[in-house]
Order: sequence, then C-alpha cells, then structure tokens
Amino acid sequence: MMLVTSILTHLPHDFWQMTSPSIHPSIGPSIDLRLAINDLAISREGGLLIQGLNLELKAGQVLFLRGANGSGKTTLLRALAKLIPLHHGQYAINGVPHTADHAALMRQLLLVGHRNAGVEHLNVISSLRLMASLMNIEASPEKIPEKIPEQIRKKIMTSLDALGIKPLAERQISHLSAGQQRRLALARLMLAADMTHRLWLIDEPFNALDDDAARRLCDIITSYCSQGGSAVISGHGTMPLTPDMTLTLGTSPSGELS
Amino acid sequence: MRAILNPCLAVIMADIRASLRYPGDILSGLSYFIMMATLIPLGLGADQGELARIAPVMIWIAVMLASLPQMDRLFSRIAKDGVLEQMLISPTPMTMLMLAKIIAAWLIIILPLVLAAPVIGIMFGLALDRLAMMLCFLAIGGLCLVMIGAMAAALVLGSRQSGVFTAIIVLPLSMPVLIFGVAGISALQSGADMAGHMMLLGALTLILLVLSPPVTAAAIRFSEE
Amino acid sequence: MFDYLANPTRFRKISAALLPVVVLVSLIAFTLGLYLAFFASPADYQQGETVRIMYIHVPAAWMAMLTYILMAVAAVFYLVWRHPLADIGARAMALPGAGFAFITLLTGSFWGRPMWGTWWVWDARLTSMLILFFLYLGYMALADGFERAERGSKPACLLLLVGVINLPIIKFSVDWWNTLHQGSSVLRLDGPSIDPAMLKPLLVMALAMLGWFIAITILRMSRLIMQRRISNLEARESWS
Repeated sequence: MMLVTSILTHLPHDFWQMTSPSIHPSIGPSIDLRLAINDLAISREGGLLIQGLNLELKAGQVLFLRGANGSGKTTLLRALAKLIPLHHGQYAINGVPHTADHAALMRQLLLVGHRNAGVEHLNVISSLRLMASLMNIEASPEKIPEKIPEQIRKKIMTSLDALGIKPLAERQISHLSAGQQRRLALARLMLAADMTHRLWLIDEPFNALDDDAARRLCDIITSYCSQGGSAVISGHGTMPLTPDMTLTLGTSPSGELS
Repeated sequence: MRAILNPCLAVIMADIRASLRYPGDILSGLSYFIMMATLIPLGLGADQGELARIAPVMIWIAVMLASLPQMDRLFSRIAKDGVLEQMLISPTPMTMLMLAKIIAAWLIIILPLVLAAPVIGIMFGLALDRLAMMLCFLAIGGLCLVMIGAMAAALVLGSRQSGVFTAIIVLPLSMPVLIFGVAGISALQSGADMAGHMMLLGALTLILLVLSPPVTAAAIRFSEE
Repeated sequence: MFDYLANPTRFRKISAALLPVVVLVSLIAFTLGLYLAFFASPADYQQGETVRIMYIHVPAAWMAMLTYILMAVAAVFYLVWRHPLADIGARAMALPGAGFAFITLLTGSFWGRPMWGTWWVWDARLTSMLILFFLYLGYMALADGFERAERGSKPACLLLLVGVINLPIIKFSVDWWNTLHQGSSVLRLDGPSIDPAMLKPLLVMALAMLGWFIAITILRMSRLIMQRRISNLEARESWS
C-alpha cells in the first residue's frame, strides 16, 4: 500500500510527456531502439555520481561502459535494472519507460551483476532452474514441480555447454571455483538467448574469466547481437570485443561518449 | 497467473531441496529445541503438576528460541550471493516471492519443531488426548512467528550485528503470538473451550499475511539500493 | 505545510525562533505543575501522598505513546515523500520517547512499592509500556545499526510502521492476557474518575513535558542535520 502511494506520488513531473512520442520522439516505442537514456542523473551518498547522461543504443549494438573503480559503472547498470532510484531523468528499454509497470520493464532486460546468483546448497542445474523461473522463461506448464521439465533441462544444458561447464551440471555450487561460478552466472544469458529483445546488462564479465571463457563469452555476445540483441557491458581497460559505442564514466559529470 | 505461481513454486522447491542437502542442520535445530526443554525440569524440580502447568509456555518459548537463529539466516546468504537481486528484477512481484519464501521457511523451520513438540509434551506430562489441536495451534502460531521473523530478517540485512537486532525486533512483535498460543494450549489442557483462542490466533495470522510479505519485500529492496 | 518546513535552512530559522519560547513555556509549566502537584493538590484518600507520583507517571505515559505515534507519522512522510528531515525527526524523537517510557516504568515501580508491596507487578498497562519501551529500543538499534547512518533510515521507518500497526494488537493481547490471569486490580494506576484538583496539575505537567520534548527534539534534529552535512561532505571529498 505504502509503496503504491509512494510510486504514484513520485512519478516524475514529465511522466506523461515521456510516454507520448510526439514530445520525446527518441523515447517513443520503437523496435530497433533498445535503450534510450534522457538526461539521467543518479545520486550516491549525498552527491551526484552520474548526471546529464544521454544515450541511444540500437538493436544489435554493444555498449562498453568503461571507468575506474568507483566511477559508477555498477551503479548505472543497477539503476537501469531499477534497483537504484534515479535522481533525475528517464530511460526506456524497447520503448518501455522506467516508470512503467514493474513486470513489463523487467521483461525487457537481464542483469548479470558482480554477484553470481548461485544458490550455494543446490547443484548447478537446480540453481539455474530457479533462475530460469525467476526470469519467467519457463514456457511449458509443469505438472510436478519436483521435476525439471525436459524443455528447460535442455535449455540449461545448452547454456552450460556454451560456457564449457556442462560436465559440472550435477556439482554443488559451493564446490565450484570462483571462475566456474562466474561462468555459471554468465550461463544465465544463454537461457534467454532466443529472446533477443532483452537488453543484457553485464557487470565486469571479463574480470574473473580465463581465456577460454572470455572467448566463449565473446562468441555468445557476438551471436546475440547478430540476431538483433543488444548488451551493455562494463569493464576497465579494453574489452576483447569491439563495441559499437564506448561510454567512459568518471571523466566529466556526464561521461564521455564515443 | 502461471507467471506468478511457477516462480513461487520454484522458490519453495529450491529452499526445500537446499535444506534437504544437509538434513543434519534440521536435526541439530531439533536437538536444540528438545535440550532447551530438558533444562527446565532440571532447574525447577520434577513435580509433574508444576511441569504440566508451565508446559504450554515452555513449548512456545522453545519454538520461538529454536526458530530465531534460523530465521536470522533466512536472507543473509542469498543476499550475499546475489539471489535476492535476481528476485528483485524478476517480473514476478517480489511480494509473492517473499510469500513463497515464508511458506518454505515454515516448512523447513517450523514444521519439524511442531512434529517434535509431542515429545516435549510427554516429558512435561501434558495430556495428549487433544494432540491434533495442539499441533494446529503450534502450526498456525509458527506461521505468525515466521512472518514476523521474515520481516525482521529483511530489515536487518546489511546491519552490523544482525543476530541481536533480529531478536530485539522479533521478540516484542511476537508477544501476541505467545499470549494467544499459550492461552490456547492451556485451554486445551483444562478442557475449556478454545475456539476463541484459535480465532484470535487466526485473526493475527491474517493481519500478518497482509503485512509481512510487502514489508519484507520493501525492506529487501531498500537493502539492495 | 510540510513542504514549507522541510527546507533545512527554513527549519533552522523557525526552530531557532521556536526554541526559546518552548523552553520558557516548559520551565514555567514545570514550576507551576510541581507546585500544584506537591502543595496545591489534595492527597488521595486511598493512595495517600503517593498519588503525587502520578503527576509524573501519567503525563510521561501519554508522552511515550504520543511520541511513538509522531515517529510513525514522520516515518510515513519519509517513506512516501522521501524528505530527509522526516527521518531526522523520527531519529531525534526516539531517545526522548524511550526516556518517557522509561520514566513511566520507573515511576510506576516507585508507586507500586508502597501500593502493591512490590517493585513490579504484571499489570496490563505496565506490561504494554514495557513492550513499547522494547519497540523504542528496536527502532534505535536498527536506525543506528548500519555502517553508513543513512542506510538505516528506511528499514527503521518501515519498522516504525510495523510497530504502530502492531501496537494496538499488542495492547489488546496484553489486556486480554491480564484479565485471563488475574482479576482487574482494585487499584488501577489512574482512577475511573478524577478530581479537578488533581486533573489540573496533571495537565500542566503534560504541557511541561510536551514543551521539554519539543525543545529536545529541535536540539537533537539540528545536531543530526549537522552530522549528516559533515558525513556528506566527507563522502564527496573521498570521490575527488
């Protein structure tokens, strides 16, 4: 109740303008505009960490989010997943504004944060199965919740295979190494690889990966983008993948776009 | 509807499966529960009448204290692993996922204690002829305790010393559960009518059912901001 | 109204003007109230001179309850409109609120010694007040329980709302428990009807405590605002 009132009273003043394409043509519903950010500002601990950010990411494009530690990469990614409230401005994913219904916006994105979201006491399959359910990508109705539907099991196996951890499928999460757990987190991307409208938000994926995993991830992202998917990937230094756009945070208040 | 139900079932199943991986944990919770009850006759003396009189209180306090440490761990681990983050960005409403979490916690934490309660009952010389009703009281009151515990565990996420904080939040709020629950079991003992007690406990459950999942969800959202 | 007050600079101006007035009112009321309580009011025919403890006990109990409700109102303002001042207000009120609850318990115990022959009796009102005191402790622990002070604001405000919803339930259950376990005591903490000569000092003392409460709250709020400014400045410095 409280939160409903809070949300209702806290719609930005220009919420209604935002949904009308005549005033903000860039944020109107569009199939090939994956992400549109308009004058975004995020505050952290009493100061503005990011401000005046404008950005457009088209279908099939990769955005590289570059910056030093503490420059706001994670904050921006989490804000795009609506985990952190905006200070100012607005954004839309696939034309769905951030003020829209929670479920509608969440169906447009997929976040791999710096935590791997593996359930420590479960094995790899069960953990991914839970994630698949949370991501609402279970297609077939299931009769017995105890059993994993064949369709989902196949999807999970393909995902594990794509990241080279298929032999670990029955292994318990807490017995995996840090790199293996990271691969498991990235396998979540593959679960939804056929839903190319979902914007991938990936936080520093290349950090804990070995060469093999990095190459696999590059392949996954490249193939996803060739089918019209888009991704925002953060990191520092360079990326083993050629991005279509690079946003360097921390250089000036709004970041530097190239 | 299925988009809400399926993830909730998955959350419950995942929790049960994870707890079954280490059945020893459930067992040690149970031993703690029974050992606590063993201490009282050792201190109070073995007078059966006296023991039977305080048995309802003993059982309730043992349930509260035995469930508290487990309640405190309800979210801390999955918060650190980032599972809660994924729940927050799920299209399924967080309130529903938290309701699933509460049901799972009831199955894992409370149900074993409820099933072990007759053992304490026998040790304290309780009349067990209305056992089913007693278990019913414990089960419903236990649901209230879990709902209060979930709120508290979510509120203290990320604080400096979550264990103590959970306790000082949970205990005052669970006073009504203790009062209605003990009165109910005492009424059962004396053979008095206990429909009124059951209804009061039921009303409390309904209030908490409306209050707890959204508060828990909101508290977790705040902790991830 | 709230928007107008929510500006910290304006708050400081208004509170600076308000503070001396409140302190003055409080001082006068305390002097008058204590005089009325100790010299100008009759002793109770049953309770004797100990009835004078009531002039502290009852207003303190009123204030303890009022304060918790005010904190819950502030919590609503904070959670819905995100005004930092509402959070600061709730934090500032917590300590005097807990103080009132403590004074109520302490004076209740002083009163109980000659009346009931024991320092503590599980009277329904005293028990409810004890639980209210625990709720204050829980709020204070949670609000200050995080590494970064502001991180505790939202959970603590949420706890206040849960607490204020639960308060009537707790009160009801304790009253119910009390009637179940013992007949209602002959000597209630306040009689069913009260003589005007006793009511006057009671109200004057309540006014005194209200004034004192507002003064303390204003002082604590100004201090908390300052602390928050400093920590914000430090946070900003650590970036650049």
